[in-house]
Amino acid sequence: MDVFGGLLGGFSVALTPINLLFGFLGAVIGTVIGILPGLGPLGTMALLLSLTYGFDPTAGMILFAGIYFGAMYGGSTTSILLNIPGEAASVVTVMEGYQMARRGRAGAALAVAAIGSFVAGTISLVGLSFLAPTLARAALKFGPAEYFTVAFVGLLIMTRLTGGRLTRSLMLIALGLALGTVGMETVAGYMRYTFGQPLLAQGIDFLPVAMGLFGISEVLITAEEQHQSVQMQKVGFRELWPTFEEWKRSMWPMIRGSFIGFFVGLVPGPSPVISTMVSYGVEKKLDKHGEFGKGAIEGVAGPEAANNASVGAAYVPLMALGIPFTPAMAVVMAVLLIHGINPGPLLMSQRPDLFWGVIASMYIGNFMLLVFNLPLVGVFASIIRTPLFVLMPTVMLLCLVGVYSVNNSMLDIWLMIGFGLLGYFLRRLRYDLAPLILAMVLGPMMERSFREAMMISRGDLMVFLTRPISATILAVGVLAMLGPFLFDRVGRAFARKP
Amino acid sequence: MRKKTLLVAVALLTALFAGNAFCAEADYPQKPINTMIGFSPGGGSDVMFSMVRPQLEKLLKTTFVPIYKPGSGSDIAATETAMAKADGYTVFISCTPFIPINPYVRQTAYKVSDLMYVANVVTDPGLIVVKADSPYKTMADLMKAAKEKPGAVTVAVSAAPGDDWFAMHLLEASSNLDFNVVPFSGDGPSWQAAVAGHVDASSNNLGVVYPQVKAGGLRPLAIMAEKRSPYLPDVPTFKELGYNFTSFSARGFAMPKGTPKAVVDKFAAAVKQVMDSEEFKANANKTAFPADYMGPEQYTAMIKSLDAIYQPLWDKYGKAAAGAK
Repeated sequence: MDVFGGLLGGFSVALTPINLLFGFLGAVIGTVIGILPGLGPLGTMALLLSLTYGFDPTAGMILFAGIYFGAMYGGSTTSILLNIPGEAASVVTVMEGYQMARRGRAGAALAVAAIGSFVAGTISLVGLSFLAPTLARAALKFGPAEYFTVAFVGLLIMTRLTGGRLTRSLMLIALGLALGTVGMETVAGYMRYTFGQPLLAQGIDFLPVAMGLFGISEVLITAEEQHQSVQMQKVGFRELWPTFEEWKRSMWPMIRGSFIGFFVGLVPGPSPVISTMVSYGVEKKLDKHGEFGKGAIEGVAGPEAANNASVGAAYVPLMALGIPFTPAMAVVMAVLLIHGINPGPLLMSQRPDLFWGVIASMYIGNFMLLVFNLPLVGVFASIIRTPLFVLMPTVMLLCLVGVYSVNNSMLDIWLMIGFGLLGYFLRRLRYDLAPLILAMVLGPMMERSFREAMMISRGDLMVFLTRPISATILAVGVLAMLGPFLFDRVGRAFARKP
Repeated sequence: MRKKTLLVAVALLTALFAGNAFCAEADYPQKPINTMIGFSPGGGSDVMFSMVRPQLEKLLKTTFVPIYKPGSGSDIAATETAMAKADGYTVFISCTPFIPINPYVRQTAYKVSDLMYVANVVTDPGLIVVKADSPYKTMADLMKAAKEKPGAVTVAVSAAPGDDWFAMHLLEASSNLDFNVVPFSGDGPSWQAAVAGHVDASSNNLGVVYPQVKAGGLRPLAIMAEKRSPYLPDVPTFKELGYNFTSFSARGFAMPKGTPKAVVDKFAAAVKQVMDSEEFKANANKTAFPADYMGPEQYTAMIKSLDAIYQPLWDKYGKAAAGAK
């Protein structure tokens, strides 16, 4: 099918007033829920499903696309400003983004994140429009063995990402993996570390841990630092925007991040998370300014582009084959099912109006989000001008409300406070917390895919080496780990010879 | 400025959760109904809920707030329902065989009798599917492969113990063959593994895989019902093929024990009215949704009758399997 013809038809569908309205609504709702830690895009879409009944399924799809993209746009805001990652995909953004905010470059970080999101969204949409069927078939080649190796290599790379010694990040990764085993184990249904608490059966949620480790611990540390009158650097409004130098430095990371995000995003599972880790790793490797860990703009631009590009990629298997790999995509699929449409390989030819309408509306939505988000940069960046004695209690409140809103559970609040204290002590001891939380997110998925792979191969570990994709990923991981070390050795060996 | 933004945001969130409770009717329901869903979005309970939700909301003049509490084969959602106020504002999407077999299989925080069974919506027969270009064209091909290489044919199931898992044990017992049964985390991941070719087949349910069958991604081999499905008239039943078993997953609405009878009856009547409507029937037809309404008495009796089927099966296969692990 002619892509340009399809897109043109799609724009004629997407530009009808009602669809434009839904696109706008989605973008606004998405941005709001992205900014507020707590309710994520999945929960919002499930709640709003009933809004879509009365309308054409295209309108519903457009609304949800707006929410999904918008949530990714907004997700970086609290990471950068308040050190609170609202979802797993913005944990990496915290590392450089918050440091930038502390140096008074919050506005630059937010602007670069918004523009990076736009660039990445556009690149991934072009990929979705032109290559969807081909890419979807390639994505199917990834099975349980590959999911495991992707996540495993992601964690390996993680150990190299943060500063500090290898043993430190390994310890935190081990702790994170252990936390990920809490709850009901998925194969035989055994309870692990639940201590008779039925609420722990579903495991420990990301949000209480993230908000505790990052948000609460930040409040505690700030409270302590105030005695030493360490204040966040205050800046004037004019300095909110990125400088030319900052633009120049973020351009290539954005583009690299987009491609990384799109291709990693095709792999089902928590791929947005892994894509941000890979992008951060790449940028750190290529860094020439030595600013990583102290607020390098590349470390915001790359990962933020990557997590947005992975949203477009998540749509690929759904639109091309009717396979919803993620829970969020399953809710999107429900919009179609309610109207009696069976999404599948034939969607593109049977309902081109819907297929191309949705894709075209994503281009429009992406543009709307940029227009909508850039003016907000100034508003949000001025948040850090708020006196700390107002800001910090508000952050605390935001964390409490946000965590409670997700499961309506007091247990989550206690968990958050507990992890807040843990985070405080670990940070005082100069541990980097990102590996802990990322390992916790990836752990359950790693365990499940490992066991599925083992059951399929009937206990043969070689399955990870005999499957070509899995073996390639492992090889890349080993190279990334040992590479610097080996080259160093070889280099020195040559140097010694006269 | 910033505080205002925050206030507005918090107010928005609260409004989102409280829902809009301006129902004029003095009768039930007067506020939104929390709907506990025990599986991830995209699974069978979600599909069932999506099918009746729009019209049910219109009819009852309320909104449903879906609350996903996936995990433990719906035990988490069931526990919360059992502990909720019995006022009709908490409903649970109850799926067999998890209800009633889970409290028998492991120690759960609720009993089967802690719930009132209001209305069954769908009885979805089991179906074995393979990838569209799989070398196994018929059930006989698959059985032949299992005979030649015992334990080498991999079949994905949604969970252990779930209806697909029991079904595979019934098939193994009635054929004296051995399959490699792999539990995935839900019927969605199970059929996806089959489409992608990571497993040889998926033991699944008609209503769940029909869209992919229709779209040409999956090929159905045999159905676990008494008679063939009108949606797939060419697919033989296992009974026709000489394997004497059937299997299904029934999904419906349950409420906490002690919910007033008037509320239960009103809800059940509304479900019946929705399912009798032409709009529902047309939609069910398009997506091969095996609708099967049962009122409170009949549904409760059906749940009770399942003990006699699944408890001996679990004693025979489940305990052995759990011991082996």
